[in-house]
Amino acid sequence: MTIVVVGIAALPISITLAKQVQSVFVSQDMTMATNLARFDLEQMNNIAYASIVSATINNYQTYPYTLTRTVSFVNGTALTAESTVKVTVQVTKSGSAAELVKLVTYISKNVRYAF
Amino acid sequence: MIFPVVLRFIYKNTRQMIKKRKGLALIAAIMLIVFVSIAVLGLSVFIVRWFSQLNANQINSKCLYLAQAGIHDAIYKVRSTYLNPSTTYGSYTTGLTTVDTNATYRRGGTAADFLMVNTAGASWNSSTYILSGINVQKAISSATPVVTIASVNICWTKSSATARNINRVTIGGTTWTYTIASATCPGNIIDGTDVVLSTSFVPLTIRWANSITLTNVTVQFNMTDGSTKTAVLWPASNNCFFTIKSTGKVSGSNIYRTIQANYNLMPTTYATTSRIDDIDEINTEITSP
Repeated sequence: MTIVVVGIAALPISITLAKQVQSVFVSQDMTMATNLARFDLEQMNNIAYASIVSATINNYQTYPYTLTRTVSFVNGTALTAESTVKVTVQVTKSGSAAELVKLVTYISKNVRYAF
Repeated sequence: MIFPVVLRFIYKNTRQMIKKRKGLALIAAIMLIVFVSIAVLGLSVFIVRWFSQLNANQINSKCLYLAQAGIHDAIYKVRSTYLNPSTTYGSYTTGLTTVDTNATYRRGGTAADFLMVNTAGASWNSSTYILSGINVQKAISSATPVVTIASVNICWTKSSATARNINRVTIGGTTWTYTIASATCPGNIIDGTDVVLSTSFVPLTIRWANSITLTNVTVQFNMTDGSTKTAVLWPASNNCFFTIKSTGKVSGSNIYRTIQANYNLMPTTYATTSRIDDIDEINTEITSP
């Protein structure tokens, strides 16, 4: 009787515990992915406009994540005096297709700061 | 209702079992299961909250970069229309823009935010009683919000001993004839017919009653929506600034991030020096237009 009761109760508890352990790893991935995506966008904000280009980087910053940066013109072109690019950064776990985070912004040419 | 009955039942049966010394292992197992279940439940609640916090952090980051998109797009729009045609300093649009699936920014602000005051060409007439060469326009091409000057306060500092009054202020085709004496800033108010601004700049001139030598003239523009903007008209400075406000949002979430940027066109050296003078995050959501 005891074995039956323990067996019935242990099954859902074990499944829940397994999911919880799994979620700890997923949350770690989400945090890392968000930080890596932010790091890349901040780099794009601080480099020469002409250097903002599309790229796919495996093991980004030596971490086991793949960063895909997509750059496209939303205003003007590469040849016009003024232009704006849309920068989309997606991060996945290396070897996985599941997207962990996606950040999007616009960066315009000739944006200067007084500081 | 049922809970006390169940507890009574467990208590009664447990006592009987203890007396009979039978099924002790089962009781211990059930107690263990109850304790473990409570612990697992608590952990589950903690993990759910943890995930919702992680999700909120991710949306926060997304919103900030969406708000940045609104600022950069506005700067592109102003720069690409600057002096094209030669009657405007350029303009941008207000309202909602979709950047990506479920990702938007909205630009807006007060009338004072959209007021451009170009003081780069400020100068006095030969008799030094008319200050002109200042132009004003609105920074947005959208119909709303309307950018209207209701009145101005003017204060000035004279370097000569002679005191003079202002007797006329002209903005575009509207002249306000008013006599005001010098006063501590923001100075006395000059009110007249409201001046509705467009994306074409119009001249602003101030006339004193007689010749005067001034070291400083400051104007506070009072807009019809109650917002104000202060600009130093004299001495002339290479300034023509306005404010861009942009809120980034992700559909399905009430999280927002708003960035406010003060952009200075610096008209005389525009191509190489126009810049963001100040940029901050503000805790105000742009909800219209």
